[in-house]
Amino acid sequence: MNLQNIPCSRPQTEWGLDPMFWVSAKLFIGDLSRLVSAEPLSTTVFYIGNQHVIKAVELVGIIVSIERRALKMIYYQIDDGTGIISCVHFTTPAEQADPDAVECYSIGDSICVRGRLAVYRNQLEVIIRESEAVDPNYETLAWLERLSLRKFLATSPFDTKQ
Amino acid sequence: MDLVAGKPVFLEEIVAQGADFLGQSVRVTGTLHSYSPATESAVLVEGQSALVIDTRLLGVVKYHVGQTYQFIGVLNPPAVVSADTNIDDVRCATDVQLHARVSRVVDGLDMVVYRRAIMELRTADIL
Repeated sequence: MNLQNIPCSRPQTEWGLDPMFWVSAKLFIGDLSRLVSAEPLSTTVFYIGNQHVIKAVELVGIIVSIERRALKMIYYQIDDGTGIISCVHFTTPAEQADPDAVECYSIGDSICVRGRLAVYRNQLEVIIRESEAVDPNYETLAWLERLSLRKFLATSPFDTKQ
Repeated sequence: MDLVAGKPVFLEEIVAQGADFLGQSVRVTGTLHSYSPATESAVLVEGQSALVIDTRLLGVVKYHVGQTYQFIGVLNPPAVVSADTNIDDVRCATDVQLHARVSRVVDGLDMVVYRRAIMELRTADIL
């Protein structure tokens, strides 16, 4: 069942009252493709579920593609079984000076990525803030956790009057 | 590069309805029964079902028989001939083979919880 993404009717000044606005929302990658953008108010904020607003996500999946662009960026494509999304890691000046020191994952590694959402060339992507390798059982747990949290997004509204 | 997500499926589903999965990108899990470097193919077994995996796209990988592996790839008509598909009490899928593009060792994966999680995701119509 697709998550119904209803645009938030609250003014932009009240978005910060939604706890989802400040956390890395645990979502399936398949749900990210159906997010509703908050344009023109913001290009990095999205509506999800019952009028919730998010700007960062936490994803768990398998790396199916790695692309290094010069020394400045590493693109990972993450697959969690429901969809694929690009996650970009911008290297720091220290990492650019010593490319061997960059913690680079391999294709097939299972990772947990936290970062903010961004749209680049009409494609949604995640700008990695932090990432870590996880074991396969963590991915199964992540699926069940997201399944449970989905019910909250779909049913509990963002209501500032509560 | 337009990659399609690998939908988790079970080997018994592929053995039973192989033709329905042709061309689909899937993720399969099972125990490595055998690997042939000559044909670059592996046989993955889960319960009483088996599937031949075409590993030509994976490069040089050290395979250990008996470990639990996950492969992500596309199910296509058979392209390699694997000699070791006659396994006692095991049915091997004959009309499809998995052209794997990603492989990983998942030793320690709780298969009971994994199966139940996939069934729950299917019930919620997410997979």
